[in-house]
Amino acid sequence: MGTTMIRGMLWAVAAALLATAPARAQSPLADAHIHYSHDAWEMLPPAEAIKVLRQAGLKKAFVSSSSDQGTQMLHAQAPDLIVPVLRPYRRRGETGTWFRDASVGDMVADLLAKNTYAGIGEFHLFGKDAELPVPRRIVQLAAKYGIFLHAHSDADAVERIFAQNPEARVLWAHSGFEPPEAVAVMLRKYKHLWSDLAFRSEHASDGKVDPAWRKVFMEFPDRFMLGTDTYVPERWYYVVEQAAWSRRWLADLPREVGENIAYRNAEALANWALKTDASACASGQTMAKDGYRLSYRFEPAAIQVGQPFAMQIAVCAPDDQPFTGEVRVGAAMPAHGHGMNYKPTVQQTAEGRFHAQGLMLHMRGHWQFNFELLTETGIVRLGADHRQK
Amino acid sequence: MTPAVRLLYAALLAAPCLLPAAASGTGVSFSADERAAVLSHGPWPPELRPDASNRVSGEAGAIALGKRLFAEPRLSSTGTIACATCHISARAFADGRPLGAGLRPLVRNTPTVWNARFNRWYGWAGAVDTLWGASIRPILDASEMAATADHVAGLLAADPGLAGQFETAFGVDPKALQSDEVLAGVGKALAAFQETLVTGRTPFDGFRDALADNDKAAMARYPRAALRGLKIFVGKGRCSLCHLGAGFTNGEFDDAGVSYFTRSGKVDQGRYEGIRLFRQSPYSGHGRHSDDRHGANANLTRHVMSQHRDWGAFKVPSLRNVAKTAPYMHNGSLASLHDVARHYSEIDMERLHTDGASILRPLHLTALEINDLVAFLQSLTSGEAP
Ligand code: HEC
Ligand code: HEC
Ligand SMILES: [Zn+2]
Repeated sequence: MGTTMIRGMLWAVAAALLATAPARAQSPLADAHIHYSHDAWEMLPPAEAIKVLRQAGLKKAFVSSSSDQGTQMLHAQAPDLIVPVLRPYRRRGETGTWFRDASVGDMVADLLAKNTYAGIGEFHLFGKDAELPVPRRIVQLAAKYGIFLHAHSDADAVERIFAQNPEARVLWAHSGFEPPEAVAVMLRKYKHLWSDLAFRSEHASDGKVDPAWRKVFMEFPDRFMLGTDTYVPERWYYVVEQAAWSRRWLADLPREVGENIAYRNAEALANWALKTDASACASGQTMAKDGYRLSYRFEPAAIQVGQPFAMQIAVCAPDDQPFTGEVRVGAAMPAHGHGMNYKPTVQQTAEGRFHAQGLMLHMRGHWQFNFELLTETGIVRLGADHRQK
Repeated sequence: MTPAVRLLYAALLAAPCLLPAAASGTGVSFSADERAAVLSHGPWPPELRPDASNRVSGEAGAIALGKRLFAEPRLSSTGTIACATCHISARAFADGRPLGAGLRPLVRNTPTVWNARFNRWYGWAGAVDTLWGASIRPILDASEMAATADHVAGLLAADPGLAGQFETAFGVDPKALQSDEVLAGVGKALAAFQETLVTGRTPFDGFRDALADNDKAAMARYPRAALRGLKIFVGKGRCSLCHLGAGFTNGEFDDAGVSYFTRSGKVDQGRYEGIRLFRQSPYSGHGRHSDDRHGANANLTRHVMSQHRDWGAFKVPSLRNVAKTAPYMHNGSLASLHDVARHYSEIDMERLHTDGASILRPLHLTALEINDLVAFLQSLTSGEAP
């Protein structure tokens, strides 16, 4: 069967799924286990992939891909939705070799310096392989950037990660495929361990939660999250179905617990990782006024005259308080008395983090970027000079 | 320009290798800034990427169908006007007239469709942001071809040859489609054909690449007058601010001090109306006929902002092959490149809003400088393009 034919069939399936999905407002979900690897983006272009995630009613989707390019493409399309997680794989098939490949550590370090990620993973790591230099470096890098590790591991490897860094935050992929009692033992032992339910079905059937799992959910209402695991492109067409299935069993839990597992736990972990700490407001182009600090970064890094670009913005409020306001951005050429011909849109992507789109500088020369921080007490205006070559 | 001077220019362009050294040893040298500015006008041709909003972009079947449709007068309601009636290949795909004329007289000059694929916005007012949408617009325009989607679908249904070519290009029998889908397909085939119209290398490109390579012998082949004109263009003329890059346009809209009253005494609103029409257009990059509503271009164009200065602003046209597309400006009001150079040289500041952009100002060029600027514009002419 040719690629085009498979693709045609997939499109038909997607269309059918999208057509049957309910139109009414769905309760929000977060999916902590999405992959968008090269074979997926060949079959399902970024815009269509985002459509699927939105159709599923997702508020947040943790995406990691082999290679990372897939994650970046999705993030560029929907920065409000996609929580980028850095997969240490360049392509499928590195699951069993990466931890012995020193170049993986360099690649991860380079990408962390270049882009923003909430975590490193999902990686596959078992037993004492966790002691090898490459995984050790990954654990250190996660600590350096204040982000989590998404580990597809046995309990032994998870324990070794915490032994290396007791302050590490680990999202345990597939809850280690362990039974509920064993998961509970680990959650009790490590307060910085979260557990995703990707590719697990035992915890619910026919919209009823299994009693043993219910006990663990009730004991740890802040630690579980959902996941689809789109490990092959075909599974992208299951995201909508899986969301509907999850909504049914979540409704069988006390409302608060159900909503936590549905999206709040994932959102909290993402917010913790993507928080604007001092380092976020200090990297890239930075400026400060009235105690507010702002930094921005262009996408692509070198903007070209006449070409559209986007901007990542981080804002820190005075005294390391979280910034809860809004941000506006514009640009003007003071000497020419004109601005841009486009009105950028700014979306919040996490606490104190924003993504601006729809920017374009149509002349060379001296531009000024103008930022407005809409705070509870007024507007703080910041400006930055820019020479467009 | 006297006939003698004209002849000299013709000789300069036609037989550049007979010329003595121009760039080196003539007193015309470039500062680092000027050099960077000159290099920024190339390389040519730029990278050709398929148009993601048009799924048949670059496909042979669609190109063949588009070529045929471009010359097809039956696309018009009367069966008398084809795209090629106004975009005449022997006239550099323009028509040589000040104002276009279809079923009724038009109020704007017919632009060339050479290099159309590099536009962000189409038409003098940028009422469309896709090449295929810009190819549908004239079919429906009451003054141009005055047809309807039903008329076009009827033509394809009735002509087995066209229907067969459509099916080859799109993999579907046009009779199985809604009329507006057939029309969108016709626009996309016309676009696929026009995408093949990329102008060739020019004397300027030869000079620019020689400068990049520091190839003095090759640089010396560029006519001296053009070289001096180039210096004005990137220097005190400030032309490069708007006519930038390899295409000599920033793709945006501005007021170059040209009147925008139409001959009937009405006002051509230019970009102001263009944005309004764009927002209504079903043939835009984010509209339902687009094959990639979230592409980079559609993502930018949907952010477009309507401003007071859009009233009477027109697209900054590309200057490639400009010597072949007289008369000039959105209303064809300037007959020659000399007239254009004189227009900029003595631009009427009272026409430009004082609080608006302050880029253009009278240059007060000498007659020789005007000739130089024109020689430069002529050096943007490619050999192979008709
Ligand atoms: C009656 C003359 C006439 C006919 C017929 C005509 N055009 Fe045009 N074309 C024009 C004029 C005038 C403009 C500028 C329109 C404007 O600014 O609103 C134009 C603009 C364009 C543009 C935009 C070029 C640019 O650089 O912005 C394209 C593309 C185009 N025409 C393609 C076509 C195609 C394809 C057809 C046939 C379906 C066609 N035209 C038929 C006169 C004509
Ligand atoms: C502020 C931006 C701007 C600057 C600077 C500028 N132009 Fe233009 N140019 C335009 C616009 C806008 C038009 C179309 C105006 C109209 O039709 O009303 C135009 C039209 C032209 C045309 C006519 C092309 C055609 O196909 O009709 C030529 C030639 C030209 N400019 C050359 C120049 C030269 C030479 C300079 C420097 C002396 C220059 N321009 C500076 C914006 C600019
Ligand atoms: Zn997994």
